[in-house]
Amino acid sequence: MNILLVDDEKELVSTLAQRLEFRGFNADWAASGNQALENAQTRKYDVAVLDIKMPGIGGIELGRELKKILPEIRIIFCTGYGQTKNLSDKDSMQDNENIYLSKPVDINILIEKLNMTPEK
Amino acid sequence: MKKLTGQPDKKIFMQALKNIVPEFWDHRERVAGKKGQQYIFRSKWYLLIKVTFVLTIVPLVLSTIYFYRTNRAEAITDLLAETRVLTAGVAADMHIFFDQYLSTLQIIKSQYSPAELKNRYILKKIFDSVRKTSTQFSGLAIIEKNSSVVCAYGNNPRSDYGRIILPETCNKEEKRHTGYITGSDGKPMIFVRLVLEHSDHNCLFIAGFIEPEAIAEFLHHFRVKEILDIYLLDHNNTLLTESSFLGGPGAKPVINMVNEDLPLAFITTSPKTSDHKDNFLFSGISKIDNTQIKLGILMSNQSFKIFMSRISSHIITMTFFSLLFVFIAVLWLVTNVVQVLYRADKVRQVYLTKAARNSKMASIGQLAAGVAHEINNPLAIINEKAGFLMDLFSFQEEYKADTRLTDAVDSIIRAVKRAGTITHRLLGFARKTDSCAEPINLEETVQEVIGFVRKEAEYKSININIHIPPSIPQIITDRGKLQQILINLVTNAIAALDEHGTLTIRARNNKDNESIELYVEDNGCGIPLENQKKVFEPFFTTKAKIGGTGLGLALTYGLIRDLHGTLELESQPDVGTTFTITLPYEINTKESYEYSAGR
Repeated sequence: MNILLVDDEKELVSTLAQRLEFRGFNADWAASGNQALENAQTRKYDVAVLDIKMPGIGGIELGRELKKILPEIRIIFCTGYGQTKNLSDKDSMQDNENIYLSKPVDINILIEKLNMTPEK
Repeated sequence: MKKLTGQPDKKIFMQALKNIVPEFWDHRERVAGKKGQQYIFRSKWYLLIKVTFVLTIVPLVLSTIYFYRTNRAEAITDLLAETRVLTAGVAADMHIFFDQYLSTLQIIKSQYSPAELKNRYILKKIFDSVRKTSTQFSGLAIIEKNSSVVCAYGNNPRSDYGRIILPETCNKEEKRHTGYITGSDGKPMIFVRLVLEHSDHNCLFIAGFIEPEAIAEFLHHFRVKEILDIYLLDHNNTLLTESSFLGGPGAKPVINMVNEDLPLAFITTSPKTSDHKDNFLFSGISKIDNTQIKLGILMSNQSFKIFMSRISSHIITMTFFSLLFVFIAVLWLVTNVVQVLYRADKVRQVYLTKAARNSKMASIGQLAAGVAHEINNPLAIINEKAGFLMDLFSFQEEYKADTRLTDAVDSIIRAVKRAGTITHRLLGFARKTDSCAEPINLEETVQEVIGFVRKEAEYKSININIHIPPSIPQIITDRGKLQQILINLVTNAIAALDEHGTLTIRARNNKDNESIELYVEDNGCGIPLENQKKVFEPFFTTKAKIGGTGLGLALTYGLIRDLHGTLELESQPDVGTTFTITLPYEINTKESYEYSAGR
């Protein structure tokens, strides 16, 4: 499974990518929305794990853009804000397919969510 | 068993005193630029009392002085008038007295011819017989116009008779006359004279000298009551009679007569009485008709003093009662005014405190949200790195056996998780979250919440009373948040209660008919005043030792705000605590959403 991790915290996203590699995932990471979009042009990803709050292109907008390039891609949002439920209420991308995780992300929950993806 | 009665009496007295003392009396506040706390309302009260007293008492005192002075002046005027009338009256009597002597001369004239009267023997006979009557002549003389004595008889030296100066013209109008001369002993002698015969060339008189004792005796009759002294004066204001105040005959007392319009009355300082403020006498002087003699009277000021003391006592009584009235009125008025000020200030303070608390809570919220968010990212990195370490140790066989490593990393991960929980709760306090409104039966909700804590309450034998009247309508609000609010408050109350304590939850409709008031009351240990302001602040806890995070009430505060309600706290140490929640009948979710999005 190809996974794209996007977060402006380089340390965070690179470590997470390594940890996923340990568990047998193909994880790429990007520290900005633009880099993520570049990556998406060259490689097909099954899942994107996006931080909502990023400088430049935010997570939600990035998710929308990624969907244009890779319509099949599943998006998992991460946010520093505790209340994930409210995000879906407010956001226009209410497709019920998006998953919201709060930071700090528990790797086991993330893997659980990643594994949910093919069952669509 | 007889109890001492002193103690309860004192208690009752203190209680009564407490009721009288106004609320502001013991109120103290810090004032900028001054050390320590000041009794600002008490000092305001003092100032107002002083100013009001001065403003009321000064006119009162001035009018009292004016009243006193006016009365005094009027009393003097009245008594002067009285003196004048009296003086004129006595002068008229004196005139009659002299007339009596003239009448005697008239009789002599009618009985004897001038020729007979020139005979000294006959004159002696007349003198002797007249002495037997009430008219007390000291001597009789027949005098010609050129002052030559034709014949004289009496107690006076003969030379004295010849000194009577007769008027230049001798007409019928001048027939009767009273005059005086200075005797050879230097003392004045008063006489009456009558024309016996007159022609163009000559004029013959009979003169009768009046015995000074007779005059003194006559004047003495009037010395009753307040008349201290009566005296006769000649045209030069020389005394003709003995005066106990002004001197003997021949003395010339200084009498300042402003004008010669007699009779007149004036005030004169008494030479005999001194060192008293009112040591003056009333003096009157009047002319005796058909004579050159004036009559003077000195009157004591006794009646004036009596009048003034009566007036003074009236004034003192009146002033005393006026002052008493002013005192009570000013006290009442000023106390009430300051009381009103104090209450207004108190209300203002409460609003200021509320506003300050709200703004403080808002800024704390923002700060907390910022901090939580900023900490979240490093926490996430620590978490990831720790997770990565854990992965390294777990996936590589040589480290896997060393449990010390995995245990250490596990501790890091657990600590990060704990920190994460705190940041989440902080965000929960700071962030306004949308409410999911639904109709709620308040009593059911309260019962549900009590269900959660019933075990703990039973364990402490706490008595739980719930009074939700049926008049409380269904309210439309967020059930989950309301439950959380109630759980927090009820848990706090149970923690504050000792065994067998009472927890009361009651509700009522607010006066505005748009909201309800829900009270969570306990009769537990209460919250000290200094802590009451801080209990809603995050991380304020008195239960740190037993694991309190200090976020419970802060979260509750945030939740109630989400429900568009307010939370008030009233607490007295050792009496109990009441939390009052005000909730609107219906929560406006749209407004809530906009408000939330704006943050």
